[in-house]
Amino acid sequence: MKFAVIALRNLARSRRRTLLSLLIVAAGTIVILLTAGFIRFSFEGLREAIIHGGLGQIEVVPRSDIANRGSSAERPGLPGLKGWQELRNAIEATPHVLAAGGLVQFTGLLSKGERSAAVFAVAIEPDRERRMRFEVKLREGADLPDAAPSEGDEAVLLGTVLARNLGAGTGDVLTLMSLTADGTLNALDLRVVGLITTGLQDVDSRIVKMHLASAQRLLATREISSLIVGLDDTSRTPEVQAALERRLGGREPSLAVVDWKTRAPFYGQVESLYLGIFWFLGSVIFALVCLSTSNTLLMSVMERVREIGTLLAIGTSRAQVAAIVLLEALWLGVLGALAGDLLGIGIIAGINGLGIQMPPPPGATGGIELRLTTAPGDFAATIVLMLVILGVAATVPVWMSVRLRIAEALRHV
Amino acid sequence: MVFLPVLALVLAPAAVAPAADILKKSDVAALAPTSFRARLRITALREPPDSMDVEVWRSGESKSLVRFLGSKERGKYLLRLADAVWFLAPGARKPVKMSPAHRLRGSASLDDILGIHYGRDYVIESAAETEEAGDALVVLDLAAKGRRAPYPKVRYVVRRATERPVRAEYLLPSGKTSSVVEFLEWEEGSRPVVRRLVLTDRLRSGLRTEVTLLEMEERTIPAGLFDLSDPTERKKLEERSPEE
Amino acid sequence: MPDQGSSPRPLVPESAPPIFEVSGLRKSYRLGAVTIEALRGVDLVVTRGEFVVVAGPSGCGKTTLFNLLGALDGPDSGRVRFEGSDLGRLTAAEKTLFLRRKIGFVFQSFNLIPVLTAYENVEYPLWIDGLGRAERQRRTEEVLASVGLAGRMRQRPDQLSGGERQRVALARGLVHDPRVILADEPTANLDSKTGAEIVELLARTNSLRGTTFLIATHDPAIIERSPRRVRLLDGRVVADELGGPSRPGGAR
Repeated sequence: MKFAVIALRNLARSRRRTLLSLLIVAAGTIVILLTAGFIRFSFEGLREAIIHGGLGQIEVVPRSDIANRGSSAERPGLPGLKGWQELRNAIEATPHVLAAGGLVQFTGLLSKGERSAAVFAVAIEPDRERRMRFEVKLREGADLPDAAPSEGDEAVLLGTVLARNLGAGTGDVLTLMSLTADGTLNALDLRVVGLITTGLQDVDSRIVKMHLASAQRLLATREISSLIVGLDDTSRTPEVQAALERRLGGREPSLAVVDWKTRAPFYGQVESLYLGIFWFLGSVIFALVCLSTSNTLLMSVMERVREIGTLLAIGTSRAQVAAIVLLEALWLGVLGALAGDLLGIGIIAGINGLGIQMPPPPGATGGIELRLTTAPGDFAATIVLMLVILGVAATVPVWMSVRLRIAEALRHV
Repeated sequence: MVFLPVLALVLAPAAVAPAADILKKSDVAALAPTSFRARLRITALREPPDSMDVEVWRSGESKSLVRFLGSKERGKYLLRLADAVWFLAPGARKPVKMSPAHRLRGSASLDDILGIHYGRDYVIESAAETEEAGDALVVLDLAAKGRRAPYPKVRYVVRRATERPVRAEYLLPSGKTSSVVEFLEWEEGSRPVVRRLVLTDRLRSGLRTEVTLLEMEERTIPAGLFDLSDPTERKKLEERSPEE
Repeated sequence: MPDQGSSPRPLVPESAPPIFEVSGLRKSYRLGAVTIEALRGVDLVVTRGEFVVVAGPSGCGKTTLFNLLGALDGPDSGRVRFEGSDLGRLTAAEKTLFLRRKIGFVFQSFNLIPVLTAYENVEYPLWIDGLGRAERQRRTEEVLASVGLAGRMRQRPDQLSGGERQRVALARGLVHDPRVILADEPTANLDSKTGAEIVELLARTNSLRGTTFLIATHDPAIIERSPRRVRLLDGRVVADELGGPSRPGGAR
């Protein structure tokens, strides 16, 4: 018979009170599980949307271009990656790499008759993007054909807002004007094969997407801006990044291997924001559960003053008395957390089954279906957390029980 | 007291009249031959220098065609008809409307290449006489007359002795200088034809761009060259004088 | 009312080792806003194996005296010596061992642990002292048998009668074979028949095991049978006499 058993039996004495405490602990556990599940859902959704929206997990780009990024140098980000097919083969031979696609990015002027708009052009290889499992959010028409277009038959996808601004639709032929790699003007006719959305209003008003070959024709170059690398599992990004850095180091001109997080600082900001909210919420739960259980634990100690006095009188050490009180608290923590975990699983399954549509975040178009996710570590973590909370809640009751003077305690009613 | 403005009005025309005269005499664009063909080299003076050659065909005040020279640039033109500028390229079936302020190379825009009609498009706000390195200069502050004028304000400096422009400073409405063109060399002859000028961008990079006249030929020009929709004449031109 | 100077001389049987030597004990305690002087100078000597009754009206200081004897509290002045050692000088660890091994308490209201069975209640003092399982079982069963509760071991206190509970309490007080049992009003909550049984049990244990008994009571049945009676009144010993039909245990 151990003190743990005594503690458990003590809890069973006042069923209603114990049940209430368990409920509080379980409720706290459930809130934490749901919140963690929601945050994870948001992170995963955002992360995969960013990556499979075209960013890819990794980008291989000439190091000199990184310095120029975001600046208004006279002609920023000119395609500068030479000999890229051979480079691409080396990258695609790396484990966990699904594919590497050439990318050319540039700005230009898109016109339809009298109307024109400044656009940001993204030129890619559609077959590679498909292998990397990138999503094309088509709102109308069809995706770009895989095959490189023949001269005079270039296809383009327009952002939905851009199309609206230009009064253009599927089938229209527009002209894109830009500066070539030499700095001279050039223009190219493009046939709209479809309209896309990126999920961001601002981007949809400026984006055009075309085949890599079309851009190279317009810019009169054989080079590309960078290679986008897609992996089979985002969690592999660090190891693949390291592998590529080893393989590609020492090339001239020097290449940089950049991960998606660096290229989407926005994600890091969202992550910090959410984690901040989570910690805040966690602290509130901590305080609430701690205070309410502390109160009931204290009450149960106060009700057993004479009993504790007796235990002391027959030779129980103060440490042993403390252990009994503490163990009662810890039992509450463990059992409450387990109950909360089980209920939580059920509630999460229920919520996910409802298929709730979340409203789009600011600036985005279209919502996503709510799916809370849990990781196995969550359950262990909640149990540990509740043990800690209850341990803290037990401090005052334990201290009181240890401070009792035997004769006084025995006199107690 | 009311005397003085009236006096100014009386005197001003007297001051202005010679100023208007100076302007008219130095207006390179207005004094150019009615129709001519010229070859220009535009060089952005950076490290390394970056140049391109163009061929300008001009007929009258309102029709100009700039042909980009070089094997990669075949079939590319800028066509100016009155105030509208169009870019023609082999990859585009239809011409693309463009801004005349578009910079061809460096800081040289189409207006800079084709020349600005100071007399036609600007009004003299004030005139002054000054001296620089022993040279007597007339400084005319010009303001844009209408929307046609590429720059809102110009400070136009003419050498009194030669009645040829020394430089023109293009100003923003705030008075700040956005760029300066210096007329450095002139062709022999009575007609003021610029052989070399340098444009300096004061607003952004301080980049200097040189425009040099390689050759010029007065001649009649087939109207078909300026036909926006019909490329036939232009195609003939390309075949007659292909570039290496 | 005898004052401090002229309290009856404690009876000290010759050539017997004293188990308790109390001198000049004074103790007050607060009850709410009131300070109660429970003991006003008590002297007492108890020898090994004695069966002593401490009698007196309620409020005379019996419980306080027993608390001090059992090291559950400390005196304001005076000294309690147990087998020669000053109880006031014990460290907390020594005190815990003292309570576990040398003293057994039997409380008026039994004070059994409600969540433990009779068996577990009795086993408890052995368990916290770290005795092995087999040894614990042997001794627990033996002492439960000796108080006649062999068949009721698995019951919890709330399933036992008053008499049974008191027997369990007594068994718990005995299981660790203490030197002294301090029983505070052991029959106060029992009917006379059961009370008599308990008293019989106490006496038998004293004579069989030689355990020293100090019993606080105002139950005449016990007082009559007791070979030594100490009377307390208003915190002082007013009488300390030998008497009673027999002298179980004790030494001459």
